Amino acid sequence: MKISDAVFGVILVVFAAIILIYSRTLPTLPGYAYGSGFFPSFTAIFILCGGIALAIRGVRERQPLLVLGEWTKSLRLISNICVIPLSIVFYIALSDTLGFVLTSFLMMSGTIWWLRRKILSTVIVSGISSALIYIFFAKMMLVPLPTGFLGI
Amino acid sequence: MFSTVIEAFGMVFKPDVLLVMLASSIYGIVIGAIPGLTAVMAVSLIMPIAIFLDPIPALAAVIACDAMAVFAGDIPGTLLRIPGTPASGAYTDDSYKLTQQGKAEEVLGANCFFSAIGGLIGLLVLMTSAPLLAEIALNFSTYEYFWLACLGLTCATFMTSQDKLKGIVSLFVGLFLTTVGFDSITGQPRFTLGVTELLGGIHVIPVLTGLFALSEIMRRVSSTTPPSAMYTGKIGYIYKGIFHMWRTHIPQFLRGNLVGVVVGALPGAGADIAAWLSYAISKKCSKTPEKFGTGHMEGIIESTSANNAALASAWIPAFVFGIPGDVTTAMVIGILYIKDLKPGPTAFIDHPEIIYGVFICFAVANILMLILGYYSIKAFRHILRVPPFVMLPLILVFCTVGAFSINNSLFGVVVMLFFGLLGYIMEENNFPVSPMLLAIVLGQILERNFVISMVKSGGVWIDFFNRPIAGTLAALAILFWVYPVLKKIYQIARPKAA
Repeated sequence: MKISDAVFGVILVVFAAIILIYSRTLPTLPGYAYGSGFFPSFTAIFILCGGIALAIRGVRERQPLLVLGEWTKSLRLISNICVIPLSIVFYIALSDTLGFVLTSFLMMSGTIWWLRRKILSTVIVSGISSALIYIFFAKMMLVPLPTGFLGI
Repeated sequence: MFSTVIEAFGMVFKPDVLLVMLASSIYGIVIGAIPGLTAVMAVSLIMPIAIFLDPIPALAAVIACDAMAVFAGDIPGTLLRIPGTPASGAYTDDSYKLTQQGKAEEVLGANCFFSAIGGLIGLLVLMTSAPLLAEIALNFSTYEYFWLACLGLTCATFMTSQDKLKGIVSLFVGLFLTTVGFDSITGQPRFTLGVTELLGGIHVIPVLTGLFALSEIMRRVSSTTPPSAMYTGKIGYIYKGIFHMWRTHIPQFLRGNLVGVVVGALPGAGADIAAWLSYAISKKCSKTPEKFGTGHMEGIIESTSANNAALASAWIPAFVFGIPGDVTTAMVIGILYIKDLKPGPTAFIDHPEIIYGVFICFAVANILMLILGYYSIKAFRHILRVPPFVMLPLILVFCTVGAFSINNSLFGVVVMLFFGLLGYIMEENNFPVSPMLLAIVLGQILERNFVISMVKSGGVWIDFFNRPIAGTLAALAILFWVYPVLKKIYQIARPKAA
């Protein structure tokens, strides 16, 4: 999925402008003209220049605003790509309630099933992997993984 | 010194450390051998585990995994014409053409043998030059560190970006991201948007798992490329005639290692650049350049030596100056800080046993490569049999746990998700992600040394240039910055003059 350099340029210019405006509100070191805002402003100036250069390039080369990738022609591939961030959102939303083992099992089995559509191997692989990851991180490395209502 | 070396040997040759090295080696081989999964991804996935280990096993895991993954990238390149890692891409055509001529064993033997020897030569350079450079670096002040960081970021941007403009943008967005959180000099919170978790800044581990692993998973599940065909030929003893091959390719071997150690030691460069540059030099110096790309051993030996030699020498700037030589050493610097082992010249005085331990780990990893490499080539068919759609969700859960475990907070997972999506969009649109990661590692060093230098000099800019080493580093950095502009002016002016 190709987005025009002009679009990136405009986004970067707006982003740099916000940084510059905010940086001006940051205090300076006593007795000096620079402080906490100096370095962010310095980076923002380069982001601004880069954004302007990209915008000019995009317009000059008459790049189309958006060129959809090959994968956008297949509903299957579109859903494949969406299922990855959605499974992470699922983990963020439910791991505290369901606990690590159940959430990771559901996350993994849902993703594998969606990608492969083989239920038995999906359940076996997800079950074993979730248990092993839990044992390794929670029991061996003592990471306090979310426990949820099951306590694991 | 002798007692320190003995102590380091004792730290490395423990059953648990050797077991960690063996496990990381096998893991590195599996990831490196799977087309599309890179050595950087392999190392980034090992980071969440490494931060819970003691320093020596943590560093041993990274060293073994990286060396094996870079070597294993040669296997699918040779047998399927799909390079496992970008470094292998330089000589994939030659390797595959030789496979078609029935010489797969010969090529794979050369890959494994010259990778291991290249790694050992890189180690030799690391062992001899790092302590010497560290003594010089003890006299460095904030001015020198400021220019070194500038030089590292410049090399990283110019060498890893095909589109320089997008590389520069990626770099400065990365530098901006390091300003999020408390300012280390004034203690002022910046750009936190009222989010408490952002006060401590953005941690590098969720960023790199997002940029390199999550974005790669998204790319792979939406790939329209059909799965690779299985190699059906027989592979016997891969080291047959290897010493004869070594004797007949001494110039390529030496040149490859030389290019590897020099490129690797440049801040911001790395194994990928070393391999491609080495291949180009090999072709240029060859008596038979027309044979390159048609199945010629010269380029393979030269580049495969170079990429593994670069792995060790990339640790020189990381250890001596705290400036990463490549993305992997950028991650290593992250580990060192977490372990309270500040990299830099004082590391050679404060904890020399760790430095010598790293040297020993490199030697063990490269010797292990000769043995494991042989078996991994034999097992390659089985590695390819692992369905990618099972492997990728597993990696996804692993990334999620890793991002969570940094601060035991779901915020790490949110950061990973954000950078995963950002990395995906960036790579789809030819924005290189490596400059951003190196900027996130180096940003605070750059800002701190800059502000302290400004305070010391009372705002007098000339002080940044009037120390000999600082002046030299400044001249080099400025030369890098103005060279493309001068070249452009020359290109515009030349036709007019003609």
